[in-house]
Amino acid sequence: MNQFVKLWVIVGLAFLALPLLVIVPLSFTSGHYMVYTPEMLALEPDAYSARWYSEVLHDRDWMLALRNSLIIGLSAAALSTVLGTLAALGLSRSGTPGRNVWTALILLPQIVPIVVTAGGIYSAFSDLNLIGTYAGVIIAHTVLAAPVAVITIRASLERFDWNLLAASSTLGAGPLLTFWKVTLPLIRPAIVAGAIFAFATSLDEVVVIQFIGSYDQKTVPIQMLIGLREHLSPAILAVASMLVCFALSILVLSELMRRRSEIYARKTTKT
Amino acid sequence: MKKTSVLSTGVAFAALIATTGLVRADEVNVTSTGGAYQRSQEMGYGEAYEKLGHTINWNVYSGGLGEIRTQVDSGNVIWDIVDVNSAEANTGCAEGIFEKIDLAEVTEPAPDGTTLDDYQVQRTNDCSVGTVVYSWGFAFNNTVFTGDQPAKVADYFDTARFPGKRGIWSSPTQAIELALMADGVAPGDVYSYLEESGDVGVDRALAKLKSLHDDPNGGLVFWTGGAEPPELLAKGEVVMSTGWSGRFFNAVVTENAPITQVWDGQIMDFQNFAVIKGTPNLEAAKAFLKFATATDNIAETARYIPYAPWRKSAVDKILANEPWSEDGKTSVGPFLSTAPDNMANYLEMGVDYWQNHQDEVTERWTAWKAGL
Amino acid sequence: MTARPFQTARTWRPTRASVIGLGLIAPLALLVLAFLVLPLFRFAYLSVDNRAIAQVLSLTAQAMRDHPVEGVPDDAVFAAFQQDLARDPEGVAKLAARLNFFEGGLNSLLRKTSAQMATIPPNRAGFMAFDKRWGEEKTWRAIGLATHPVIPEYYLNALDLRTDEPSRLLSIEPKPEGQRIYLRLWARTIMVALFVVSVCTLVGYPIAHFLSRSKGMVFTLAMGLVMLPFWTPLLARIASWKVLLESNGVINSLLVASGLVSEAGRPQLLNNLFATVLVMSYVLLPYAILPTYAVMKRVQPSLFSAALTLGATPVRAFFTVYLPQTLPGVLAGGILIFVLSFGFYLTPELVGGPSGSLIGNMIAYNFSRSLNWGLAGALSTMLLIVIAAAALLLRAVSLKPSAR
Repeated sequence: MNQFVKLWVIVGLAFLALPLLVIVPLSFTSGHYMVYTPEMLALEPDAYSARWYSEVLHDRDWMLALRNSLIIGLSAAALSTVLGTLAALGLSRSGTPGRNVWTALILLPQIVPIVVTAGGIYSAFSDLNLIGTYAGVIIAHTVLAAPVAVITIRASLERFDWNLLAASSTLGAGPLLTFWKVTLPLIRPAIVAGAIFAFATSLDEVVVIQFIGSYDQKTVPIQMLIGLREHLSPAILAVASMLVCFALSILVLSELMRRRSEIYARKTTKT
Repeated sequence: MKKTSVLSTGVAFAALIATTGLVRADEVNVTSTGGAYQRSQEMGYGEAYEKLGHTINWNVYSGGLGEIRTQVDSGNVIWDIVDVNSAEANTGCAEGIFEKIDLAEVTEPAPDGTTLDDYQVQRTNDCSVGTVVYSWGFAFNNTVFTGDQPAKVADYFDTARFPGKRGIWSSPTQAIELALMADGVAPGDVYSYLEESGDVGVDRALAKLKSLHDDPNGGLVFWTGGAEPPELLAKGEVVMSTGWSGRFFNAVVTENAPITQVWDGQIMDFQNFAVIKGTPNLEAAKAFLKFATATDNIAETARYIPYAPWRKSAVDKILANEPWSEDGKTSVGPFLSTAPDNMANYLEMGVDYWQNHQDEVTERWTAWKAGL
Repeated sequence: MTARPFQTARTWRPTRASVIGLGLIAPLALLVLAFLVLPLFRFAYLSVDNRAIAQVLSLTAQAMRDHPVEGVPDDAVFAAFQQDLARDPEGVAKLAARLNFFEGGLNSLLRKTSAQMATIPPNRAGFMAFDKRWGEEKTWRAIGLATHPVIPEYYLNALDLRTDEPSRLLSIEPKPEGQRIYLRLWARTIMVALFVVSVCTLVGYPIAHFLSRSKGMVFTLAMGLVMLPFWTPLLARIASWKVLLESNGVINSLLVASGLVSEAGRPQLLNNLFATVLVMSYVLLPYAILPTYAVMKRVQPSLFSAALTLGATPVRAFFTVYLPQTLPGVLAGGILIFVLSFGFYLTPELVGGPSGSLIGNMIAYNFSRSLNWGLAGALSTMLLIVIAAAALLLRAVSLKPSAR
């Protein structure tokens, strides 16, 4: 029985890992199609090359997409982190009325199906002339990414020792100074993690931008979508492999942030 | 993070966004249908035009007037020029979602000085500018069928002789005609039969396609982008697929794909550029059209895809300078839809039929597909 | 009796703390309200509102009332109709788009007619000479429908129903066989969602258990394997599944190489319902693992071992002790997955083919390809109602104490 469970766990974990492991070698194909050739399986050196990576790095569309993803992702991450930090602070204060309602409202973009959200945002933006603008895409991505930032930051605030704030104010510090000198340093790792997750959310978003963006706002996932539908080439796999590496670095970074915030938490409980 | 650095990064981004948001004076957004075809446009005249100091933003879509109508109706025109087939060109022009274009104004004279007479066929609306002639045909994987090979339109449906899955476009154009021709309707009668029989004819075609889809030796795989059919064939996903003629050739020449096209029952169609109504870049669009359709420039596209230009002078130039293909050894003449050998049993696109019935046929098609 | 008995009892006096708290939340809350909540309400409203269109047809509607005729109307209505078209060119585009949803093909007909209006005589014969469809009954059924200011047509459509007379409930009837789409898709979407929930639960539960019992390097690695796909952009994951599932893809090649299937008998794994379910399960698996893991972390293993020492078999101990303790996590994950999978769009679009497409795909199709915002709005609203019900259930479950 126990053996069976172990096997089941291994199969499950393999199911999770397999797809990502498969594309990385294939992205180094020297052929034209997204399929393992007999030569590749025979490990012939000629069957492998980095040509699709170099193709991506020299392609105007991919580079434009990368630039756009950075502009949009960083702007949306910055906005959602600022708004998300404020909201998380408001939501974790016991004096705030109707916290459940506000939480539900702010988390709504995570629950509403993305295709419904996209339709709603399109109809709102078309009245405001925000279709095909950077501002429009950044606002939309902020709406979508802010919940991620709120969840992350609020989780860290829940471990927060509110007595510190009382202590700070008895020592004569105003609320702003207290925030700057006490609250912010304690939740900073969570804020950084929230910002990273918000950026990742924007980088992953393709449906809304497909509805409301134009050529000028073409991002990496849009270019991938075009690739999956039109210019089918292993270049997509090269990009996908790079994105897997990006996901890996997010994991490592967020783990580092989690450890830092735990250290902070331990320090504050000890003092 | 230092707060000053955060601030300065923010300001830098704001500046970047502000500047990229501005409409650049000499910029034109051209939307085409992707793949090898779009590559022929980008390589044929796009790059040359950009060398002259202009900017072209190439966009990809999968056909249909839906997105164009949305842009015009909502006042958010984000494409300037769109690559449309003849039915779409006529419909869009009649509906007023394309700008009326004076053809003489955007026609660069041929080397011998002819202008409007240089077009092999005349446009049937006041908006579009003709580019190339192509066909909706089908092809097969010639490593799967080596001895007995598909040669007739009915073979697309013959799963006893040619077992395996078939690729087909995810919209009804060509599928309906193909099914009727295979079901015994003569190519010349297809559209008149459809006009007269109404839903009955469409249902007959859909029933034929349904039996192919449900056949254990058959099966349909739907494609959306024109680049997919050669890919599906080359990878062995399907044994036969409909597709646009030049895409197959391109895969053979540039990628050595094992594909043979069947020149029987194909639908000849005429491709056009149209300018979307209300574009802020009307003059830039016209300038681009004039450049793109000039004899020498439109002829260049045939190096990358064997589509015959509308302009006779360009076809003459190609045939006089064979081998014209980009590989430097393949003649493109035999692969043109207008080559006499390829025109034994063909059908000209029923522009009027599709103009009048596109939406209702699409509606039935969508319901049919959802029920597969 | 006072008119408002709650007024005094419930008066809420803003405190300093509450003002600060609300002030902090306000910017984000307003953003979500403005760009998500309001548009969704407007969407729901758009799917019944026909006032703007009825306005375009005001003269036609009047003429139809004055000259009631079954089927194709007489000259007076045609003349009024032509006046309506000439009056408001912008309205015509909207009218054309809407009529097309009632009867396919009218968009093109109306736009064409309106663009060449000057050449058409304002009577029945003139219109019919311009295009014979003006003499068809179904054309005028659609125009008749469009004269009503409020129409249930889109909601009926979303359930494969239709009516000629929106004011009479009893006139509602099923659509003809060849035009039914949505009931089948609703059923498929529900089945897929339930199936994905079961797959994720069955695969996720043991993994969650394993995570909750492992430490150190093993834990970090296993957790990494769960989280890595979670943070990898969706399109990268879909691309890799395409590579795996194709006829000549990795899985089929392995099957052939191992002799399990013949070269000619490669099963179709892509572009069907199977692919939709498989890839959706893959995408949503972390959502089953994480909540269950969080609950399992808090469960004390001592209870389970106590049951064993008291003589229960491991299977019995599992079902009577461990499963009930961990059930809240399983339910939370399951409902979350149900909610998320109900609205899936991109995955079925790219791997599902026609047999694997869901309601979300028809929303996208109606919105961006067919431009039928009313129908897209009706489908969206119905989808949101199902999701809201499931989300309320999720709340009820998650509010329960997690361990006894």
